[in-house]
Amino acid sequence: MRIFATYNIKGGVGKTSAAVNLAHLSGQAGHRTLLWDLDPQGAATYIFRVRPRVKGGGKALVRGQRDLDAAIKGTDFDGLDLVPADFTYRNMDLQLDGTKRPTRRIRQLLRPLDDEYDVVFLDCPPSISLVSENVLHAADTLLVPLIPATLSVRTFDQLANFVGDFEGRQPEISAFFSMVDRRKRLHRELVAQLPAERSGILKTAIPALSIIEQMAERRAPVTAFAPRSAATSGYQDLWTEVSQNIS
Amino acid sequence: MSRTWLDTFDWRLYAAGLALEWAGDDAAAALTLRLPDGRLLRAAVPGLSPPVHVADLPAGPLRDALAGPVWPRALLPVATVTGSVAENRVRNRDEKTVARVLIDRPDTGAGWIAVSPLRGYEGAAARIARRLSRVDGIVAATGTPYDDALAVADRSPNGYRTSAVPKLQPETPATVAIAAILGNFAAAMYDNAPGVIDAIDTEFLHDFRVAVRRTRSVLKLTGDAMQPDLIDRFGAEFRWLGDLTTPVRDLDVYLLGFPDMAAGLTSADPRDLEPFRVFLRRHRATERRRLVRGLRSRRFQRLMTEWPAELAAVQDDSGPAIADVARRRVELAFRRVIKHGERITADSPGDMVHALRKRCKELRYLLEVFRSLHEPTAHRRLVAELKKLQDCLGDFQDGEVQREAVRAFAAAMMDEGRVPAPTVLAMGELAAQLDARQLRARAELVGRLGPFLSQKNRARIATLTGESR
Repeated sequence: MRIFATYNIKGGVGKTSAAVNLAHLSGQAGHRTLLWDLDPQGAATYIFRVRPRVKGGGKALVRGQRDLDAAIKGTDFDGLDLVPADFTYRNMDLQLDGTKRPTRRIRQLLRPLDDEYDVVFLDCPPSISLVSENVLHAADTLLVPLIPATLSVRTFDQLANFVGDFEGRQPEISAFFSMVDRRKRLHRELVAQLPAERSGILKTAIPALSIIEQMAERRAPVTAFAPRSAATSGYQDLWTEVSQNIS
Repeated sequence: MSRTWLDTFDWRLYAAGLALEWAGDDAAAALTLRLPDGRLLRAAVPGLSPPVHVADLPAGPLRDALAGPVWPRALLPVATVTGSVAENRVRNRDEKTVARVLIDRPDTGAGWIAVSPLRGYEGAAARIARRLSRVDGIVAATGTPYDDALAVADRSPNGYRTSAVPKLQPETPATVAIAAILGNFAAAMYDNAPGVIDAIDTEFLHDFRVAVRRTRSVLKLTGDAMQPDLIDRFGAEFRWLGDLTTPVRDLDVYLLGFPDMAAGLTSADPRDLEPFRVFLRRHRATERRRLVRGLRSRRFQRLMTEWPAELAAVQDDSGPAIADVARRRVELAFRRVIKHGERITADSPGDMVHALRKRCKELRYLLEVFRSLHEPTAHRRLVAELKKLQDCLGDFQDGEVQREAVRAFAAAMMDEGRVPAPTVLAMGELAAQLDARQLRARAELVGRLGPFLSQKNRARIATLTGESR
């Protein structure tokens, strides 16, 4: 099982869009894929038309009263299942704090599904919290969307330093530019320069396109409702870059 | 549209509870693999054209699930159904799919409606199925569309003929029982020959040779119980078939084992062996042409007609029962193994070890052929002991034969010119490894012989053959 997490301390940078579309492409490629919507806002859950409710809420999962397995819902797409968001996830930090190994709980919950899924995506809420720390420990690869701006680069460095201080296993960090507006000089320059200057930045950049925003209206991944769009082609390239060595 | 189910010639997927369906037009063709737990794995396979080798499928879970059961066989069409298939989705208020309803209308036979639940929405699917079952004319299914397709297909899992030995009755006259055994082997040769000619996969030749080898052994070890001219008339023909098929099979063994052989190198780079692989492939192509000419010859066609006819004409000659013949032959073969085995020491020359191996093979063939007449526990334990001894003898001889073959191949490659020095060095390392294998087998041999020659095993032979079951 290979675990990807889409993560950024900042919100509104294209995290959920990346998680939803890459998870859809992964399922399409024949990998048994699970997307866990950890964000209490439940945007990914809404896009897949699943009701944002987990029996017993986040508390029952965190405390081990319910298996993650029982919360899984099939999406409308072959090979892609979803663990929906639940509004109680907003208190997950507090619930995690009461457990034995509070930063490893999400990995523990996923372990029984090791043989059942080839690929897992964790769509993480923005911020630095126990939930996000759990996600950083669970993931094999962190997919970090960056808006091309000087401050984003600083955020990326902070994250790399934070993860670099982990004892033992550390996730690989793969950042990519998101919401790129080619009309802006700064965007063009950063997209061209940064991958050469820093390691861990992918070649693919996801453009800012209104069709991506239409996902909430269409309630489907853009890779499903507009398979020939520039947006799909961007996510396809991104998936090709990050999906090497998935067995 | 048409749907075709694929399986190996020997029904490996069927035996493993798997069903592989190939559907859709050329560009949009897809494979769907149904696992024993009902899960489906899919892969797009534009332009697919059977026979299909697993290595040619796109990488992914479907290929991974097939690789283990199928390798090294190819997938062939077993049944095709034409008709229409429509997938309908049942959605809830949020327009979310909660179940899929597949309506399958084959051009012939009964139609199917399948309700597939989506994970987490099982209740909805159960409700839909309950409602459908109340509709007049719809009845609950007991099989699958694949079962229906198989029922009218040209091939069926029960129709696959291996070189297995039929179940024997102790009192059956030996002539009739041996003719039945040989008849099975002849059928396996007949069935596998077209796959060898069409180069579908390497296992057609393997199974063909198993049938030839078993035929020769049965003729040699029990043929005198038959009419005297049988061996005279057909013995040479099966020796010819054995010789005809040996070179290609030997090269197949090298090529199938090549990745392991290359991975086992410690000093040389595995890539250095690539010219050796190219050489083996080229020689295989030459040898295959000779093999195919032989299998298309009138001599082979005549053998495949006359031999089964001869066996079918065998009648009860009021001679001994098969159980008597079996007992005498197994005891004799066992005594021969004991005689050869007791002479072996750690320093015995290779020829003596090879002679012991041949006697062990004869005993093994007889045990397999007459298995259904034996006491099962004694049979199982004896075969297990014999197998361990044979593995050791096999390592001893294969080590020697293959080492000499690698040297001969290297010499032939040098004669042909342009063989890179690193390749010759890597082949030298291979030869050294095979040499070490033979030495290890020699060191083990005496230790292996002890248990086989023990009183316990001698007693097992008595139990095995002492009374007809």
